[in-house]
Amino acid sequence: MHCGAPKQIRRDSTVFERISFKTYSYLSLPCDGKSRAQGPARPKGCNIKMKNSSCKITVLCAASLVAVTACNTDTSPQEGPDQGPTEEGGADTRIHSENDDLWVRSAGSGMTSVFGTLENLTDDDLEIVAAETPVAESVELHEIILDDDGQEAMQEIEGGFLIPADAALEMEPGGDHLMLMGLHHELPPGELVEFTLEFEDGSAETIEAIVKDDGGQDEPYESDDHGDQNDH
Amino acid sequence: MGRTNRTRATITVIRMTTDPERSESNFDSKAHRDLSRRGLLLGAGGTGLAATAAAAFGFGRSTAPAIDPREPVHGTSTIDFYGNRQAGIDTPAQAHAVLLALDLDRNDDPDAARRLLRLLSDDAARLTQGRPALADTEPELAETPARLTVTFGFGPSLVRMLSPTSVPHWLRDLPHFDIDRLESDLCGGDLLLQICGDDPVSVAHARRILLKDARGYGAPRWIQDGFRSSRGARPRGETMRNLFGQVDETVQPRTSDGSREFVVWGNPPPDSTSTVRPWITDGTSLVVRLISMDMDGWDELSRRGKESSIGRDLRVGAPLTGVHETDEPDFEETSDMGFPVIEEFAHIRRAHPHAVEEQILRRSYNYDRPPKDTDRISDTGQLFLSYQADVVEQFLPIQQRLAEGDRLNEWTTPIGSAVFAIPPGCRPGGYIGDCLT
Ligand code: HEM
Ligand SMILES: [Cu+2]
Repeated sequence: MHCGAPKQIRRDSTVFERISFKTYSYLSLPCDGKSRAQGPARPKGCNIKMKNSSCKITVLCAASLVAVTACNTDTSPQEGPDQGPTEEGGADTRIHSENDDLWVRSAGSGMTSVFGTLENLTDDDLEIVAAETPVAESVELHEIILDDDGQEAMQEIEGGFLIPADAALEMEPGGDHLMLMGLHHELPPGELVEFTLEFEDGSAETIEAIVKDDGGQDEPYESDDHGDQNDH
Repeated sequence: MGRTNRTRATITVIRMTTDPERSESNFDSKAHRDLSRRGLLLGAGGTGLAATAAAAFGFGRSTAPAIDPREPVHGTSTIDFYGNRQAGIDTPAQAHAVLLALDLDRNDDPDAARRLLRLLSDDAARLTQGRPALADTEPELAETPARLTVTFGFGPSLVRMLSPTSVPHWLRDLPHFDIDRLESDLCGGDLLLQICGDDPVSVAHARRILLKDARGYGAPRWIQDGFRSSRGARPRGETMRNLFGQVDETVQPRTSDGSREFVVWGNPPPDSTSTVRPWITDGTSLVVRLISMDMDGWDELSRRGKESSIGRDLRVGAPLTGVHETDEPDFEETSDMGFPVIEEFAHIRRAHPHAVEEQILRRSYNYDRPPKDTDRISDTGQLFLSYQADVVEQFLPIQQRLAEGDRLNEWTTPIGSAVFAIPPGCRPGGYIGDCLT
């Protein structure tokens, strides 16, 4: 869209002639004059990449269509496949991150957490029972508890994350989160990570999160014994 | 049980949060009503008393509150981040600016550069709209963006990394000028983040967030901040003043007559023979010059002397051959003695274009800092920012002429210098620089 050929603006040119070409001769420049602009570059690939049934896209469709359209108004005819957001995701999307605010805490190896809001878009309660991602061996659903010493610790939640109809699950440091176990590789800030959330009826949906370095630390993991004590 | 011990409720009812935003104007007009009612009551019953008191104590209007409580609050006003063009250039200049020039750790890792740009664009998109950044540790500071903008500029190595064939020929250090006293740690940079806003607090917050997110990818090379008159201090649209007291930025390419479109964005009118073109559609360039101003030396000049050095009067900024600020200077006019009214080396004569190409958009900020040397009382100057489609065709001839002869050079010294390519804006889901492949 904004990467097209330069647009011509139509207007009378008198303003450009308001300049007086009088007394002074044009000083030659020290820079070589040879490298003239070869016309504007024509970059490719500025389409938004869309993914089927990605919650992120739903946000774009719903919330940002106006802005996207506005950006288009003064451009020359659209080239190629750039169609802007489409109806993908749409009807089947049952969950999304309200402000597109899912993020993963950056980590070199081992485990790390995912935070952000997951909004239930349906009229029924939703229960997330499992999750997976290509970047880690497994994903656990974690909650924070106070252990016997009154310290915050995290442990796997029983059942899953239940999100009532019309409500949102807020995952934040010190609270519920997704836990990536056994990272396959480093997660550097700015990388996009995909997650598939599985619901209790066996269906699944994919969401995307960006990696950030917030300077924070994960809570200690409740040891199995400890967790058992808590749970029994 | 773990469940009962959970440290915080994690489920919120989200319908509450989708309330329409409390609008600034509603808020204000209510405040207005309450206030004017109070004002009326006071006016009716209290005038006599107030007048007596004022007379008795010999003060006039000082009983009025120092700040008019009816003044509109503008902290929530926003400038769009997404769009064909980046904000912060055509945007009427905000009161505060800070420029962060970063050196990237690696200039051979385009994937890392893209990750960084995605992160920073995401931060900018949120903060400029009054929303906290992801993982924002001070989310409350994001609530009053006050026309916050973040404008990205790319140095040569960054453009080369993203798109080797797109590097504009003018994207390199300016040639050396005899007037220059450049300090290398005030020059250059791989990535520029120009943060502007009317509230220094949200500017500081954005600065912190952006630098934090850049941490894994690079380090600040130089950071420069500056200010103009605060919003509301002077009538809207009034030309700014620099710290020499001059009306500065009078002659500017305007949107209204299309010259801005040509000068900054490189779209010449159809019948123009100009060869100026943008390096990329909806992209432009930024030249940063950090120019120190010798306030003590300037003091020694008479007012007349100050005015003739620039070729304009100080009171309204009119050319010495005119009356109003916007009068065209007449460079031919001579005095009775036969001397040119606007001196031969007056700043505006030397800066005045000799060809249509020689026009720039200036959007500069004043700075005023504690002195480094103990024998001075200030370190004052201008963070001079110039936007143009083509540095060589537009900026350079002007700078060249000024360097070769400009009365102002006696009191001004360039100490920092940098050139950046400004890429186009981006769309939701994209990031600044995603057009470069
Ligand atoms: C601290 C340094 C500088 C000061 C204090 C300064 C001040 C001024 C003032 C007071 C004016 C007249 C009003 C106006 O049109 O804005 C002016 C005009 C101008 N200045 Fe500067 N300036 C400085 C540096 C520069 C530099 C570095 C450049 C470009 C390389 C530049 C380019 C111009 C141009 C193009 C004009 C308009 C000329 C015309 O009338 O056509 N100035 N400047
Ligand atoms: Cu955990």
